[in-house]
Amino acid sequence: MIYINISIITFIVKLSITTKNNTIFFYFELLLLIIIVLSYYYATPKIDSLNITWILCYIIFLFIIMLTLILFAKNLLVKNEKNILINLESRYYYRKRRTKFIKLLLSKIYNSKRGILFYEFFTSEIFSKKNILSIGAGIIFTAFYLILIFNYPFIEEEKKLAEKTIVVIFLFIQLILSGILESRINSQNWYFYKSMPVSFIKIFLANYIPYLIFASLIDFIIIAIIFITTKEVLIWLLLITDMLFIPLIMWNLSFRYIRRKILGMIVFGIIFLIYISLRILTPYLCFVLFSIYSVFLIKYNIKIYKNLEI
Amino acid sequence: MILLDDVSKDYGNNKGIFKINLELNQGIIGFLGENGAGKTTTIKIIMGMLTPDSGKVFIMGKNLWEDNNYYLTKKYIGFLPDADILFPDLTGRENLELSSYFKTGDRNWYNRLKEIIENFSLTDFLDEPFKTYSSGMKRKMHILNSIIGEPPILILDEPHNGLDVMSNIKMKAFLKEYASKQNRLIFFSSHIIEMVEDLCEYVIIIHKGKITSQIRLTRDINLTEYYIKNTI
Repeated sequence: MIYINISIITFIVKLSITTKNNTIFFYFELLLLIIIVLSYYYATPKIDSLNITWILCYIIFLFIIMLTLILFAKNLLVKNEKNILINLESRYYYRKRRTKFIKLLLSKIYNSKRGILFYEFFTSEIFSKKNILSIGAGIIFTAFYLILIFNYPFIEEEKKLAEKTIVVIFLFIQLILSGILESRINSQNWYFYKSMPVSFIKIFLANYIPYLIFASLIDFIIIAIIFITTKEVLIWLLLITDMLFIPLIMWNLSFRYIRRKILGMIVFGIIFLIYISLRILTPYLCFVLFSIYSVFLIKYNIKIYKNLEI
Repeated sequence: MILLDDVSKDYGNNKGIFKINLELNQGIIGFLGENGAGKTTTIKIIMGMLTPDSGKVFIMGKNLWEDNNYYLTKKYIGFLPDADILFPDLTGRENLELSSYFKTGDRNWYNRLKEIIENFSLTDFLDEPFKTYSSGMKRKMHILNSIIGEPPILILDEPHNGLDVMSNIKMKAFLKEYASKQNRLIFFSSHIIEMVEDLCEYVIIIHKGKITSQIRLTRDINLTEYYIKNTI
């Protein structure tokens, strides 16, 4: 359950990032989260033995974690316009801000496009005060969450799972990385790009592919670990959320009107429900599929990224 | 330089533009029309920001929607839209660097505009974030942005919006000088007749989505009277 819930938070945060600063979506996502969490509880027979106070506590903690992460992601979005330039302009834009250590570390690789991938991560806004605070808050809440799970009086099985904290830590890292990397996607200044002799899709790809490579790689590692240790259904969740994240971003980029975004969200919701109903399929199959998917995705994206000329 | 062949874009309820045929060559050409007449729609179609329901758009002899022309033609056009398109969190200089990089491949190209930057009284503000600029300064930054790479075609959507009297005078002087060089076209939309009368050699009037008149301005033509005659 812990994996499922954390992956749901990842999913919600991802959703939140793509929908940007839209308050209506924030509440929509919050509602979605509560519904999902409650439905998980009602779907399991353990519910009869649970104390309602615990459930409420649990939901509140989930909410706080989610809120922290969303705020963290939104802090990044404030600087998003700079981020979108990193791929194109990192060679000079961040030059003046980098530290000596990073300079030393990346001096050999940052001139190549592959190098930019790492360069932009190390020089990103992650080191700003606000974000360090947000990450700190996120870690504290996660610790609370883990303590809560460890002391959870009724679910032995989950306690056992929670002991494998390394997996949770991995997930949390993935969450942070996703937030940072996904926040690079930006549909603002559409007219600016449209008036320039450069393909908007190329700019989008230049910003999205590094994320995709990172996220896929990290997901793959996490899933491999989870598969080896627990064979949880999280494999499904991560697989689907990442796969759906591509069209979701596309939707958000192309739909400049809220009505269409809502439609996109509804379609996305339907797909998510179908996924939930399909998750009885064997995780072994998922693992094989995900392996193929990841390897292809990483290989293909590196190829595109290397050939991307703007 | 720009050719619109039977271009239509219908928004319903008689809004949009209908069967527009235009041939725009050298000089300063004014595009006059009241609010909602279809000026911005026409400009957006020329820029490829809107796809027409029918008709063709040619820029420098190239069909906008064929091959890679959509991107290639942007090299020839400097565009000033009616809204802010620059990055608010970047400084004025960084915005100009970015445009220079996209348009010319040289991020320092904007340094060639030093004189105009000074003339527009922007030198002291170049390192301030764009979002802190006043609306007039923002407009001037957009004008600078549009002339990066010295494109042969400038498309300006109501360039005078938000400019004070002095800036307006400077902008007009600049546009006249820019257009005086060979093979340059400035196509700008406006609903202010005096502005068009002052700047343009040629005027196109659009009314309810249709071109009602095209006229070469001479001293004996009173544009206000002519405009009223052609829009009623």
